Amino acid sequence: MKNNRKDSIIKILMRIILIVSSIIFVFPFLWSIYSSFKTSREFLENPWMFPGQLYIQNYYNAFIEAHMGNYFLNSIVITIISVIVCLLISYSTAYTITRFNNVYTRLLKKTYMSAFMLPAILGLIPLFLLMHKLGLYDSRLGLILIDITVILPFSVFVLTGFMAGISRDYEEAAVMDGCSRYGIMFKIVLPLAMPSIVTISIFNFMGIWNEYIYGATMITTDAKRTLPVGLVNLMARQQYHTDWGALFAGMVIIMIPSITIYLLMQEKITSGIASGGIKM
Amino acid sequence: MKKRNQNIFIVITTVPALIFYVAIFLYPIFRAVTMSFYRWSGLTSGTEKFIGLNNFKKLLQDDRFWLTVKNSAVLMICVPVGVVVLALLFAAMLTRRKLAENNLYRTIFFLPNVLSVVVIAMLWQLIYHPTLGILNTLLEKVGLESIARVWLGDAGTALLCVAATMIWTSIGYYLVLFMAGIEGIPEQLYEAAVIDGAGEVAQFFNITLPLLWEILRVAFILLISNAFYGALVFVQVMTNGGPDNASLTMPNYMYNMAFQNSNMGYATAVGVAIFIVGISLSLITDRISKKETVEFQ
Repeated sequence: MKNNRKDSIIKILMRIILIVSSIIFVFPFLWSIYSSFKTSREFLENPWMFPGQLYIQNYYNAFIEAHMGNYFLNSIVITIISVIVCLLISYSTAYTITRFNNVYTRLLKKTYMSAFMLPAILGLIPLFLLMHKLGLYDSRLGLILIDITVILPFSVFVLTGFMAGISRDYEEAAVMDGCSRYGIMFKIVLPLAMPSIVTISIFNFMGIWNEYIYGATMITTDAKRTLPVGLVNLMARQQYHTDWGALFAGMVIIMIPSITIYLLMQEKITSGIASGGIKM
Repeated sequence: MKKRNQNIFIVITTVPALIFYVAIFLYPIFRAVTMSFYRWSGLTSGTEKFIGLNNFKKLLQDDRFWLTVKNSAVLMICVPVGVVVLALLFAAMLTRRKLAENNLYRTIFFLPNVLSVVVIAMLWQLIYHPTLGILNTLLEKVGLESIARVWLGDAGTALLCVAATMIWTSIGYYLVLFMAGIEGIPEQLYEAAVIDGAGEVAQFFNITLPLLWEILRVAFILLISNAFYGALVFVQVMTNGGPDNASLTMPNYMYNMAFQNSNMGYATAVGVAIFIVGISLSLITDRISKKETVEFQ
C-alpha cells in the first residue's frame, strides 16, 4: 500500500519532468508554424502571441518572391536522383562484396570502411577546386555527384551488413535453373534485401534533403540553389529588409517533407538506430 | 570463359561506386594534405608556391587559431556531457517506468534529428533574437529581465548558446540508442536488486550504468567528433563565428579562411590540424573509456 503511493508520486514527478521537457522540444516547432501566419505588424508585437488571422500571403511570398518554390524543385530533383543512383551502385557493390570472397572484394570493403575514420570536411577545399577544373562548379550535376558520394560509404556499410545474412540457397537454385548473375542480383536477392534498402533510402533521402555545406559551397547561381541554402540566404537578406513572415513560412516548407516521412516511417527509423547504431 | 565472365561482373558491379568514392572522397582528402605545404590563393593554377612547413609554423603562432582550438574544445566537452546526462536521465525514466504515453515522448525528443541542421540553427537563432525571439520575452515575464540579452551577439554567451542548441538537437538520437540498450538488460537483475532492497537510484548506478558502458563509450566517441565537425553548420548559420571570433571553431576557421579570405593553402593546413585533432580525440576517448566490460549471462 505504502509502496503503491510512493510509486504514484514518482510517476507524477516523472510526468512533470517529461512534459516540461517535451514542451521545450515541441514548442519551437509550433512557434515557427503559427508565426508563419503572422503579418509584418504582428511580428513587432509580443513574439509569443498567436496571429490574429491566418495570413497566407507569407507562403505566397516565400514560394514566389523568395524563390522557395524554385529551391524546392531543385532539392527534390537533386535528392531523388542522388538517392536512386547511390542505391544502384551501392547495392551492386554490396552484392559483390558479400558474394565473392577474394583479395579485391576484401580490400574494397576495407576501403569503404576507411570513410568512417576520415573527415570529409578536410577534402572540401580540394573538392571545390576539382569541381572548378571539371567545369562542374555551380552546376546541379556536380552537386548530385557529390551528394551520391556523401551517402555512399554508409549505404555500402549497411547493405553489406544486411546482405551477408541473406541465405544463398535461393541463388544456388537459380543458378541451376540457368539464371545469369545479373538476373540473380536483381530478381532474386533484391527483393530479399528490401528491408535494408528501404531503411537506407529513408536515411539517405533525409540526409541529402537537409544537406547544406556542399550546396552552399558548390552553387552560386540563385536559380540552382537547394532549399537549405536558399533559406540561409533568405535569412541573410532579412537583416536588411524585413519580411519575417516569408522566412518563417520558408522554414515550415522545408520541415514538412522530413516530418511527414518521420511520422510515417518512425518505427523503421528508430529501430534502424537502435539495432545498428546508424548515424545520421 | 566462366572465370572471365565472373571478373567482368565484378568490375561492372563495383567500379562505378569506386570511381565516385576515390575521385570525390579519397582524392580531395589526400590532396588537402599535399596542398597544406603550399602558399596558394586557390583558383589560378601556377601561382602555388611550395613553402614546406611554413603554413604550420604560422598556424602555431596564430592567436586566432588557438582561440578556435579553445572554442572547439568547449563544444567537445559541453555537448557530449550535456547530451549523455540528459539522454540517460530520460532513457532511465522511459524504460524503468511504463507510462502509457512513453512512445509519444520518444517521438517528440527524436524530432529534431530528422530536420536540417540549417532549420534548427535558424529556428534557435530566431528564439535567441533580442526583439523577435521568445527567450527574452519569457525571461521578462518571469521577472528575470536582468539576464535577458542579445544572446548570440554577446561574446560571453554566443558559444554556449550554440552548444545548447547542439545538445537540444542530439538528445533524441542518443535517447533511442540508450533505451534500446537498457531494454536489453535482463529484467531478473532488477528483480534481484529489489529483493536485496536496492532503491531505484542504486539500481541505476549498479546495474544500468555498468551494463550500458559499451554503448556509452560509442556514444561519447560519436558525440565528440560530432561536436567537433558538426559545429561547422551550426556556427556558420547562427553566428558565423562572431561576435569578434568568440564562437569561431576550427572547422569554421578553415571554411572562412578558404572561401572568404581565399587563402586555400593556409586553410588546408587548418584542415590537417582538424584531422589530427579529430583522429587523436577518437583514439584517446577509445583508450581511456576502455575498461573491463561487464556482461550478463
